[in-house]
Amino acid sequence: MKKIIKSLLCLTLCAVSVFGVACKKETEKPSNTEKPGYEDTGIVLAENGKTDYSVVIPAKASKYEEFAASELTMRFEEATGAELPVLYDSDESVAYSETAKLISISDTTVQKASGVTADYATYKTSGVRMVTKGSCVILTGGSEQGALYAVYDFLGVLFDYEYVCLDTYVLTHKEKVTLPKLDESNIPDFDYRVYSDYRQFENSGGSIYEAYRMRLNWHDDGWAIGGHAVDTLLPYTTYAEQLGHTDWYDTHGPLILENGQRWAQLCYTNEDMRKEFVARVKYYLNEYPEATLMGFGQSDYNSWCGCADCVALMDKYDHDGMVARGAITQTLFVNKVVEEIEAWLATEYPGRQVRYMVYAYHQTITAPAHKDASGNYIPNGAENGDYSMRLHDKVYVSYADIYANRNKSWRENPTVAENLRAWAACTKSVQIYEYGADAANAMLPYDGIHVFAENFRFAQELGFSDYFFEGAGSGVDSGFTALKYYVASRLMWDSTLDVNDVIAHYIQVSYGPAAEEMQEFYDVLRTRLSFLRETYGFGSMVLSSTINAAHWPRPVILSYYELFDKMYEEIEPLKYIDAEEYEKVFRKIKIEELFVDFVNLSCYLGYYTAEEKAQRIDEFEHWCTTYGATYMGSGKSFSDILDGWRASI
Amino acid sequence: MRKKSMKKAFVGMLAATLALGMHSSMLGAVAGASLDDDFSVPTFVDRTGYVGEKMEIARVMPTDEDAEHYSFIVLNEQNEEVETDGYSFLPQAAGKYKCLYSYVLDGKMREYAYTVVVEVKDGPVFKSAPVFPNAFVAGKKYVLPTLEAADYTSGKAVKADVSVAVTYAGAAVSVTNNTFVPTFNTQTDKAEIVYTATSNGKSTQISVSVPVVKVADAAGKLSMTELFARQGFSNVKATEDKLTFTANGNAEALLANKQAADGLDLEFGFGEYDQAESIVVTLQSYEDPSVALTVEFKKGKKSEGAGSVILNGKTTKAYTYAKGSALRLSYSDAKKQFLGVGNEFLFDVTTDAQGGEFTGFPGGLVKVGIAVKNTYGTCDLDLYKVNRQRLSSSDREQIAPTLYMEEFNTEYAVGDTITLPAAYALDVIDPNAELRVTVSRGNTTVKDVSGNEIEEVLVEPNKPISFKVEQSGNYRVSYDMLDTAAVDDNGDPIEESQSKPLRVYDHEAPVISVNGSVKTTVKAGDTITIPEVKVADNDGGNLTMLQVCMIRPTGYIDAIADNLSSSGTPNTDTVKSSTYTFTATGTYYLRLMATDQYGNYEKKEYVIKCEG
Repeated sequence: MKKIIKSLLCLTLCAVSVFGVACKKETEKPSNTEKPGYEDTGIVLAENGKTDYSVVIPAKASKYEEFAASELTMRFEEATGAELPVLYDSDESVAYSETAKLISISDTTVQKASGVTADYATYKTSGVRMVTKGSCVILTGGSEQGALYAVYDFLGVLFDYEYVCLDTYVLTHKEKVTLPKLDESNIPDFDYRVYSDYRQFENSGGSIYEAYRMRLNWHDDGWAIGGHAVDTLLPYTTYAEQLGHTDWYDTHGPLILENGQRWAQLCYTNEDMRKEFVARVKYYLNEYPEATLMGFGQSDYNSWCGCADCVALMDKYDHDGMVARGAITQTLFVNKVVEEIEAWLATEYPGRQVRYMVYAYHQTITAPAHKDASGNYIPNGAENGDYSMRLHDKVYVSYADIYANRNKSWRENPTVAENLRAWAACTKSVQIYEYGADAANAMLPYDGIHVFAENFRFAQELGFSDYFFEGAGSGVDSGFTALKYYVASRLMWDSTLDVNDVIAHYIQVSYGPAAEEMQEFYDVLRTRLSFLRETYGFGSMVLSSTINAAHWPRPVILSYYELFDKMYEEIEPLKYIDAEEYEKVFRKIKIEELFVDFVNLSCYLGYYTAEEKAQRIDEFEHWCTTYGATYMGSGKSFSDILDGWRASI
Repeated sequence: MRKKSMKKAFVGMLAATLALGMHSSMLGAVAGASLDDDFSVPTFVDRTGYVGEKMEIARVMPTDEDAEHYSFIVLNEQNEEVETDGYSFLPQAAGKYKCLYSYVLDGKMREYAYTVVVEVKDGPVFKSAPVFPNAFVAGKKYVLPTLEAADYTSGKAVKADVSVAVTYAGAAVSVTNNTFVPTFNTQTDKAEIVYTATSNGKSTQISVSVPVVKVADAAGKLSMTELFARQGFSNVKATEDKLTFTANGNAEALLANKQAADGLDLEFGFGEYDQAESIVVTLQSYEDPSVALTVEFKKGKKSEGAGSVILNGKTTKAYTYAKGSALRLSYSDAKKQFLGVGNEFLFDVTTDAQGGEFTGFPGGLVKVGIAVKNTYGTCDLDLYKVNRQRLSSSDREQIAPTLYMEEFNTEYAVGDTITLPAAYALDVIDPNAELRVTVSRGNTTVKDVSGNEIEEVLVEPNKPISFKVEQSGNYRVSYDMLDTAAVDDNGDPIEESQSKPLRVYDHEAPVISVNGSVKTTVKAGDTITIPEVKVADNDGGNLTMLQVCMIRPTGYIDAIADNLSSSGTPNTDTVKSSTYTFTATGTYYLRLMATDQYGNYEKKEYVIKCEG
């Protein structure tokens, strides 16, 4: 026994030396991880734990630039044992030359002196520029954000570095590393990429840096007010109930929530309201002088103002009977507001760039556009030379089609595809707002992945540069949400990737010795989901998934359990070799098994004795609580669900 | 069931110890009494035997309840482990056999051993001895046990001829197909059963005497006073609520019919004349008479007051007696526990009457004897009930036969051949209580391995019932127990039914077959034909879900075809040929997946490269 453990230990140590904290099998599919070959300069970056290089960042480094430097030095040292000093470009010792041993991050004096440029028009916020000039390395981009990603690209070239998820990354250890000759640009398909996820929220134990490492925009970054901003700008309770401006709001009145909160749409033709609205926007832009984004998102209530003035405008700009006409008054209103705010900004904050967001959601989902005689979409009214339905260039539309059939990609869903094409005629910029999880049943698998690539590619074809995912914001979810998070982040950068390879890579790296069985589980689960989509329309709505035995027959559940048993069996030796790694992999496996437990307890409690029932429920509660997977879905209480099960004992 | 053997590694350690000659003094330990404080050894240990004759293994047990890893093995002269059934072994060669016991206490191994000397008998040897009830009931049919015998004088086992004869009061009794019906003269006359094994002109005999009782008169009227074979009782009388046996010295009443050990429940007591110090109840294994338990209710020479209850003559518990009150003794073989009146706990049983390890009654059946002991005058033994059956002057039964069956495995796999475990209908009064069995799956009667339906089939000793399960699902094994002689107070036959569920699962994955080939290289825009796909499963009659789908390079899964009805259940075993058009370049995966109703599945994948 001792001998076996020793030999396993040796194997593991070897694996660690090559792959850092990740476990990676030899059978890994290579297509997404293959790096292009680079000409070697022969210049030594590090050898035997020593380096002559220094990192340079701007004297007034931003949080991105500071973080980029810390990421580079930390991983570099981890891979080589060599410690890279970090210098500011204001330091007297910092001077560019082709023989200088400097790694410049972002817009430093070194970069400027090197002649390397990364213009915003080309690279935008996220684009990467990575160049070697002699022995000097320039890591930059269209912005400080791009420079951070340049650091990750550089680590990828040197050490196969890849950040996979919260506790897993790939890194090759090297005794000696030499500088490759680089002249690379890496520009993502979507410049603005958000996957809002609990891993990024500090109150859920996450970190903003998780978003940075996943090459995602942190969902709150740059915002003065985001989301359904009108409820914050002009709260109904203040302006209607306290100040009596009920005519500023939707004629249908507010939606009153259980907690007493009021959500109400605005009457976008009310001039007094508009004036106050502008004042409030100015207030928030003053409050958040660094903000580059300002939300005008409507209230989260599927209603719209029906006053005579609003209806008259909607009648005027309707064309062939729009399904929802709210976008008409919203567009007219927002354009006016933005013009006023932009004029104010030009005076108060010269040079300040702000983008404004409106939703296409509920009553504003339909684009105020139609096809002209030649089959091209034009804004409604444009046929008469009236371009009022064209949104101000500074405004982008966040397209949140909550009722769309998710079983088809946008491209294959004619209603959505045409609406998106129509929106492209109304605005310079559309952001797709997508849902990454089933809001009704957080424990059930909600595929999504099957349409990621198609949707990204379609959005890109339409010229959209933003993509936003509302992910598992309330905590850990089962159903491969972590995998989806990874796949989405990869595809938002490069939507041409082979999704199956990306998935296989994630599974190989994340599940260690159980990767093969987890891939099998993933395959059979997704095959099941495809069947459920065809037969029951399962997953077509982000709010409607139900749980029942027809969807998840007990034999299917038992076969899943069998696979999980094999996974636990596979990782068992890790327990004795690397307990920490075992815990990590065990956690990931257990989180995926929670879905199976959830279905089993919901549908098949009757198969167990009272004692077994109690034990299974207790175990489910234990693991959900331990791993923070207690969010069961919108309006579903974890304790109520447990109580319901326990009542059946 | 007694633990049979320790782990192999442990066996090896013991064998090695022996080979090195360690603890040699223990190997020669004299059986019959424990010479070692570490072990409790039965008072009698059979240390000699013949080749081919079943040898009982002494039920030696640790004396310390904290003993761990207790185990035993039997080794032949070559220090090879000899197969045992947990209770006995069958020596295949002459020589010395060592029965070795060990356990670990406080980290140290404790060992005990004794030697059995086995010789070749000069003549045939019976493999085992026959077992009989306490008494035969006159007029009832009895099947004589079949014995096997072999002659080992040639150095190998040569099967011997075995015959059996029965006499009663000196007169021959007809035996047909090993079955005979005893007659009755007096309680003192006995049936003599003689087995004779013959080989090479030499013969060996086993002779057993069994009393005969007459439970019913010529008209078939039941007399409960005759349910017991009596030894020493001068009189027995029946009243409305009991039988009273009278003796002036030590005496014993033996219940004629064997009973199930588990749940055995007796009510009895000292009668009006109570000049006996004790009543002793003996339960003896029907299958292995060497295993017995005794419980002595000792009131002493007083009629009432403080006394005791004694298990196996050793373990004593204080007990208070009241004159004329019924005593009760019930036994759980599952818990190995005796309870008294009002389910008062009396004893946990760990050793038998000989001081050997007790792990339950082998075979689960017992013979029951109730005796009076240390009499000092006239003594009445009152018997009230056996297993809820009131013993009285009534000629009617109240309790139907009960089902006794050996351990019953309730879960099987498709393709298994199931042999129903030995089962009996046991009755206090009727030794021939009839047992019939029906096996069904839903509304369908299952056929046995010979193709005959198992419907109300008579269960008989030595005639096992077997059937093969070709289809998964819930089966039911239903037993009907019928009292063949007596009727209840209404004159109706006394019968009882009991059924056991039996689940048959499928553990094998279905098998997918593809009727044709799949192109593995295509161009965007190409349409390929996906061949017909069939699924076969070992679970006869249950259709298996079959899905055909294509995974695009984008991750989208096109569900191409399946064999499912609108309700989502499979309705055929075939998915017909279909087509698929490739719209973009990349790697596609054609996935065929079959899942049976137990979640067993087979997944086949074809990798298809779509080029530009």
